[in-house]
Amino acid sequence: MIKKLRYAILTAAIAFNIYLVFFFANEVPVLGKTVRILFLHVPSAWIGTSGFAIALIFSIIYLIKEKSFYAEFARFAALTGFVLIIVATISGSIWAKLQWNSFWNWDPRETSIVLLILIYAAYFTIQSSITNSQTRNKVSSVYLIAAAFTVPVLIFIIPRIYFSLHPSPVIGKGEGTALDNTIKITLFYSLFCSSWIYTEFLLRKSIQLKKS
Amino acid sequence: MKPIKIIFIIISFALIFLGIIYTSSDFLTPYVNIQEAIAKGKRVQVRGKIDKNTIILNNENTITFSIKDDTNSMITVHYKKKFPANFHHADDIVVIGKYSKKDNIFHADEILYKCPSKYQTGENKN
Repeated sequence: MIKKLRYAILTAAIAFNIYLVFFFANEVPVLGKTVRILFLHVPSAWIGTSGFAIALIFSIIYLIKEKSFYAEFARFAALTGFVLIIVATISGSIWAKLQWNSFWNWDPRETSIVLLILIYAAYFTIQSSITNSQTRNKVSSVYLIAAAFTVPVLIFIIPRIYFSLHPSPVIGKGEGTALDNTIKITLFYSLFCSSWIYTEFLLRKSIQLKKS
Repeated sequence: MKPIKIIFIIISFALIFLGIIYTSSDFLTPYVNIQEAIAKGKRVQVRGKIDKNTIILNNENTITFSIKDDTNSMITVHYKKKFPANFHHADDIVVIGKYSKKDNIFHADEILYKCPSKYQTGENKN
């Protein structure tokens, strides 16, 4: 019963999010209708990065407790991170065609995200080549911890050192991006909704993993 | 081998890798400044700010304007295609093309636009 109610509230929250994205957020000059991409692009990048962070945390727990559940959960979090970073990259590429005038220009932002995707692609390749499950869990945890160190460098540091066509972040230092209020509200609400959906998703996976 | 050892090995490899990236100036960025563009003489991507006072609309749909980079050098750019729609909103741009010594002009065939940092209604910079 409680579960049903929770899902009903979540569905209503998502419906409201869709309303905000298509009817509330203003079409500002320069961006026009392409602003709608923002509400897919930023949440997927945000959840993707969170996925890598969760993979890091559960990998550390696995190395301490050595229960296979933690390693498998970390692997799942890394997979979600990987998929969502690719979603962010593709939506970003389409947006770049509309705003920068190029699908792919090897901008520092684009180059660094490709490096990150390759690092995690290598992870899944290594994982599928190990058959012994204990060895696999150990290698998985160690790899995910090491890979997590490259995430802040490739996502946050490199694009800020070099000149990039990508705009600066909305939240942060003084020279951040100034956004129209309706867009800002919609963006924060989208981030909230996507985090909620992701939490539900991870909860379901953890119950499923505990059963097996 | 203990996990902690493996972590150290992987991190040191990562650091070496990042060191290589950081020290090689053109691995991560395709953009050069005006001095480098003049020196190279090849097809390059030059980043700079448009000087709005220098925009001249030529006939046959070409435009001429000047850009200034962060070292304050200036260069005249000749753009061969139709006047781009989002040109007026742009401050920071990247022009792709070749510098020609003969006429001291950068001949661009493509312009990329950096996303502005203000997205607000009523702030149309036209």
